[in-house]
Amino acid sequence: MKKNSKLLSILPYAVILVCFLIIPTSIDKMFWYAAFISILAKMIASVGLRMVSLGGDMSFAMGAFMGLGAYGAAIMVTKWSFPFWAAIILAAVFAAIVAVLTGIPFARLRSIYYCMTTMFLGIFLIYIFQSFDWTGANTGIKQIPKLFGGKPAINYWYFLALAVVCIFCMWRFEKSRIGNTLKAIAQSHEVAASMGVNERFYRLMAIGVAAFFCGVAGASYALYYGSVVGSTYGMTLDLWIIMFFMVGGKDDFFGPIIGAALLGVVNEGSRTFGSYAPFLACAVLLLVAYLLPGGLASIPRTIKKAIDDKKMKQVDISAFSSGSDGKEA
Amino acid sequence: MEFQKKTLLKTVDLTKRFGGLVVMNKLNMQVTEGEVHGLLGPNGAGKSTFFNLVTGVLKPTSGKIWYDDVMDITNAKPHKVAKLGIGRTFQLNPLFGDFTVEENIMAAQFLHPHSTVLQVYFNTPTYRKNEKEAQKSTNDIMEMLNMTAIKDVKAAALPHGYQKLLGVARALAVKPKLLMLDEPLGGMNPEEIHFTLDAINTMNKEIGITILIVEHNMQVLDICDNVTVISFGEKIFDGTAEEVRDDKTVNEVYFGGVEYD
Repeated sequence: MKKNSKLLSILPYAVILVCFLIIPTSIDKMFWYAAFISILAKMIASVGLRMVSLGGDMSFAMGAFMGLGAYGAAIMVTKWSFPFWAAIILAAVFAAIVAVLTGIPFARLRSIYYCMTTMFLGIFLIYIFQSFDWTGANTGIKQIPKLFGGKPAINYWYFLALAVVCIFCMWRFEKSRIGNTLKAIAQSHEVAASMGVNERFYRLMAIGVAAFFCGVAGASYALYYGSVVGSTYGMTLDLWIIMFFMVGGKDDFFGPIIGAALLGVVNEGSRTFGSYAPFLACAVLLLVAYLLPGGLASIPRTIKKAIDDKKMKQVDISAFSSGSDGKEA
Repeated sequence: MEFQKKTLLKTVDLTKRFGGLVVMNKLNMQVTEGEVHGLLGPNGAGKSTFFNLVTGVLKPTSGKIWYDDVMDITNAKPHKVAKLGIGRTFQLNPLFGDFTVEENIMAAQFLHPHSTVLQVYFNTPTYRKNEKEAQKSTNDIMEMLNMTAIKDVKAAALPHGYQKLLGVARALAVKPKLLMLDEPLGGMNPEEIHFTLDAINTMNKEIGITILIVEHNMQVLDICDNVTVISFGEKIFDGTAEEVRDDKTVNEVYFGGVEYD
């Protein structure tokens, strides 16, 4: 029985993975490789956002952390001719360090106020990228030597493997005692402190871990794409990451994954609509918010609850009728 | 025998002002190791402020707090205070509502046994051993407080009395030397009160935890060794539980000086 439920909990991940293995390869188009690579990069960032949200926070700086990784890797590869793997890891570490250092003052605030400071950070970092010649100013950094010679297929497999590894690492983070401690902090930080939990340390750690994986995704994406422009990592990207997170469901680890997969495909698939494309994604967001406040990942839970409620009603009725029988007798 | 006992908690001229409002005025009190100490006082006397000052949630305006005779914990952070062995419950009793009873207590087993972040993440043998130990101690606590039957119930769904008791269980999981209970009997029915008082007595007598208890309900006097009464941030009485019933000032503060024959 226990083994069954474990299998059942892995099933959605397996289905998504199979979809990602089959779809882009069977629809033999360059476009879908590119689209799915972008979706996978955003998916990693979206799961990273979940790590931050475990501690009760929300962040608008995930895109900027991706940007830090992207710019870091681009500079390391073009100017200092680092090898790819070193550039990706160092850039990600750099993003994590910046996230933690800026987090030290910001994490004094909580919930919506913390969220506002991260929004400031997100906008501020983009301005920094665009202000210096060193980072290519408005035009960004071009002609970065491409990852795997820029071949789409190999790049796609690399991104898929990267996403699996990153998401597994974050899954370990959430399902361990660390994740539980963060959830405890989110529910009541004063009780957590009375148990001896250093609340700010844990929240900073979550932010650092999230920024690290955002950095990995951003750095890989920059090296795949071959150029970095500051505006790519602005508020729009943040909004997409948050939208994936909300549509997928903020209460489940699976949420951001399914959100990124479905909403990402909707978005990329509606490119032909031109500037009307975001409306379709917004329609999906509104529909989900209205019909399924818990997000797409809550569908099994909602169905189970509906069945349980129905059972409960039947029990209630039978209890009531047997009670009245008792009275008559 | 008495002179050998340590002073576990001692405040010297503890003062707290919120702007012009003096909530606590030069309070001197001490809690001896091994006793059940009652801290009584009418509403707004500053009892909860006292708790928050000791546990580091609030910083005192002036004065000192000494722990275990020699340690100055006047400006210590809450998690540091917990590490030193001061457990507490809260008056409004915030719980981890999404967690079950068992998970609540497990989450509180954070310091003892403590695993470092890396040990946890890489699931080392030390961590697994610690988790087993934590599970065992969680079971012990649930057994002692009679909560084993409800261990899978979500904390938010519990009746009020059990929620209060869960607060105590969680504080106990910190393995405190000094346990500070903020109105543990608030909103309980007579059976629950009886049971909770028994449990507090057990913790004190059998495990040897020193207990500082804030309460309105005078039934706690039955289990208290010593009592301090404060009113508007000033100490008005310090003595044994028997003496407090006959004290004139205390009666005046509580009952408006009405004489009962």
